Amino acid sequence: MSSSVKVDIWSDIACPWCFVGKRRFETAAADFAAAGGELEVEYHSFELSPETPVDFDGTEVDFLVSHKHLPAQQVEQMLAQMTELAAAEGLSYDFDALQHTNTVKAHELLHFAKAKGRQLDLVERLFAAYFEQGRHVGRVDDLADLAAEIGLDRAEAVEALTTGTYLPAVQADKEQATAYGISGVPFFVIDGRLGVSGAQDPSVFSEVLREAAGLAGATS
Amino acid sequence: VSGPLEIVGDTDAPVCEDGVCAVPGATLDRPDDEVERAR
Repeated sequence: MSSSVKVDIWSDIACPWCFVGKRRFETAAADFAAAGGELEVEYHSFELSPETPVDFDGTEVDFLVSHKHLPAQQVEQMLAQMTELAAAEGLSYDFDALQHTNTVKAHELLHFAKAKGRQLDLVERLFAAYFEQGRHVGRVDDLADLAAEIGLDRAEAVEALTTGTYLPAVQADKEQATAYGISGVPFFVIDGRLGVSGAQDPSVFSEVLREAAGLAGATS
Repeated sequence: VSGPLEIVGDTDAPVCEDGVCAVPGATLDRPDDEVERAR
């Protein structure tokens, strides 16, 4: 196998299925690479709740009850099951520690990291910070700390976030998502022509990657 | 902006949409009027 495949992934940091979907996709990507396939992966911005304040004072349960009008008992059940599903992927979700926030600055930082060639590292860092470590991913200083933790220049990150350098890129991603008809995330676009919605089983991603590489039905 | 996508894979795979994430086995009941209000 020698074909190269481009995968564009729309996701939000505040999206539990996006981190799970990332793990499942990575399983398939590893198999694809082991079979000789080449992958280029790029993340794109999608805001699930752009109305969320940066400093939301409350838990994830509080947010879903107050902003999404969901019954507290069902939300607690949902988060407990989400925690179990994430654990099956090796992820340690901690919804009690999670700090719900607006993610637009996180998306700007992801574009900053992309410009520095470090986007994939930052995606992983932000997901872990948000879902597993109770870190705040909405404020400039907190985000700059996370950027510095993967080796990006903290001062440059602060400047980019403060001036909104990458806000147009975030908006462009959102417009492209609308053009594609994307209403939920994660969403994977393969070579600009195949769309895969949701945290699919790795076997599904594997088959789609093989199809994109012109090897549909082939064994890896 | 590219053209329409060919949707492949499991169309029931879990996603997060409008700030809410579907979880298999967890039923979320929202009265229709509240769903509209949430949007």
